[in-house]
Amino acid sequence: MKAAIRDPDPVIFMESELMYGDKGEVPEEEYILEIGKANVVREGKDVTLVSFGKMMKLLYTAADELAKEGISAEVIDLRSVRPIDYDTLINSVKKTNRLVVIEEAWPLASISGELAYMVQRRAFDYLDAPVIRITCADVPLPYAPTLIEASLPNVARILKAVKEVTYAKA
Amino acid sequence: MAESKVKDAPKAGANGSSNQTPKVADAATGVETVQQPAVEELPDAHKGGNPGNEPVATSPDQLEFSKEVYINWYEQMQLMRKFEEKAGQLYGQQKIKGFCHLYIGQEACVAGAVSALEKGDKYITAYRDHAHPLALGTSPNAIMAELFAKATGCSKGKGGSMHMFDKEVGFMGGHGIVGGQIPMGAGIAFAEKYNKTGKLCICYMGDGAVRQGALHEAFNMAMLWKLPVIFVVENNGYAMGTSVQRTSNVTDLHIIAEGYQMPNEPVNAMNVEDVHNAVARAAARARSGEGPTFLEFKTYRYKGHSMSDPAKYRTKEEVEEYRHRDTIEAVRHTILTHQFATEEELAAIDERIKAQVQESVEFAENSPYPDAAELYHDVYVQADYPYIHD
Repeated sequence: MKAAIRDPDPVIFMESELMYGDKGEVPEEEYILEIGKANVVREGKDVTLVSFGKMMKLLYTAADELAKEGISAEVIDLRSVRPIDYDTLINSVKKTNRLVVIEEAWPLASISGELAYMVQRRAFDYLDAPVIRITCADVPLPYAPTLIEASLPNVARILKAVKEVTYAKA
Repeated sequence: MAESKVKDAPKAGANGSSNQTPKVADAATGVETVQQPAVEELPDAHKGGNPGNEPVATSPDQLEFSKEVYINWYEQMQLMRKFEEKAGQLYGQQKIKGFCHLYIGQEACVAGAVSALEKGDKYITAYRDHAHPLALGTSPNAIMAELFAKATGCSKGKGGSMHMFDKEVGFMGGHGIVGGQIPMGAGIAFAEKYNKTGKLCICYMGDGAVRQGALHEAFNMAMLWKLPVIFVVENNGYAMGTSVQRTSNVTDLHIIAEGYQMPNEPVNAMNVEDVHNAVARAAARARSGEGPTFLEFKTYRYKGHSMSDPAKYRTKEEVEEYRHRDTIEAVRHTILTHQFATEEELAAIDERIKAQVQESVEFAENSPYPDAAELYHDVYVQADYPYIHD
């Protein structure tokens, strides 16, 4: 937020209403998150998980679950989707050789599609499996809880995708 | 601009110039802005009283309508009122989730229109949309089930409170985008004209939606093509929590239509008779090819669960005051005065409606949630639409 205010260009700051009730630690001193710089939240070697915003919470849970099974996931929070920190992502993929992209939006014309494109463009020879992305279902978000569950990304879908890109047994 | 208004607000209050809204040139921008009155000086609809000269309900001296019409109005409005009270209660119990906008107090806006229009005419509104289908004959079961997100709901549990639909009765939705229904209403009217059905579309909006740009584009085209549409603003004085005075330079909202030479009039929408007559005049214009009308239904929303309580524990003065506020009470008064029904007969109607609402709750609770397979149904007409699957 501070970086957005201090930036001389117009900035769109997006936040999730559903996270307004969340609590967590913040630094005592002033801190500024650089716009256009991704955060490697957790280092790993077997697979890269990348997302931004509210979906990050799913990634943390999924990485914990994977650790229990001996799969080491590198977790990246993009923080900014324009500009995108491609370098951090591509360096990670060069290390892990596998990528699962998670995004809450629809699949068409999405950030996830863009990330998958740039990774195949710049790190094609490093990929040991096709990139998998997890998005909202390709329909307007319905109201019923059963349909919301069927529509949105969740931890189970992330775990399944990781098993696919690592060719591990489900 | 917005920033300067916020800064100006306390000054206006400190100067005590609450009755005036002087135009001042903003030093920073050189643009004229209207000084806003301080927050504490705004009329507060929630505190009761009638600070903003809000419209009141009256019982007519001269009867224009038959016994059947009055009884029908009473039944419809009581159904809306009881249904909404129940919905509010269930929302409090978290049985209904998401958004939930109630119609309590504004019942005449719908009842008077339904009695003035024909079968086959179309209705479209924003997200305060439970009452319209109720009055048009959609089963309360289907509406309550929709609020519960159940598969038996009128939108199969996919829409919820803001997205009621019932094509069979001519209800074209419940729309969540403020003002989004205005061009859609014009579009529906275009279809009626194009297909030469002789039917029209009545398009409801709130006083906040009037400030959307889409209204002006829709008004222009509706007039240009003389579309059979009745635009209605339900002006309850507040766009959510913001009074009309704070959002609009023009507070008599109906005159906005003057810019398009669209016939317009204010209506005391606490009187169902007035609503009926205004809608009937607009409908006659629409059907004769003269095009749209813009009606400003002056209404107000009040909260308070005691509004439809039997007045047994109240003083006579309180009941009198209440009758002047409430549209249903005014109709009840007319029915009793003209002996269209007895107290007992009205009580029997109330009981029947109460049971009907209770049944809808049981129906909704006992209905299943939609199956996950429903996700890809009813989105497109094309049965094998190529959705993206990963």
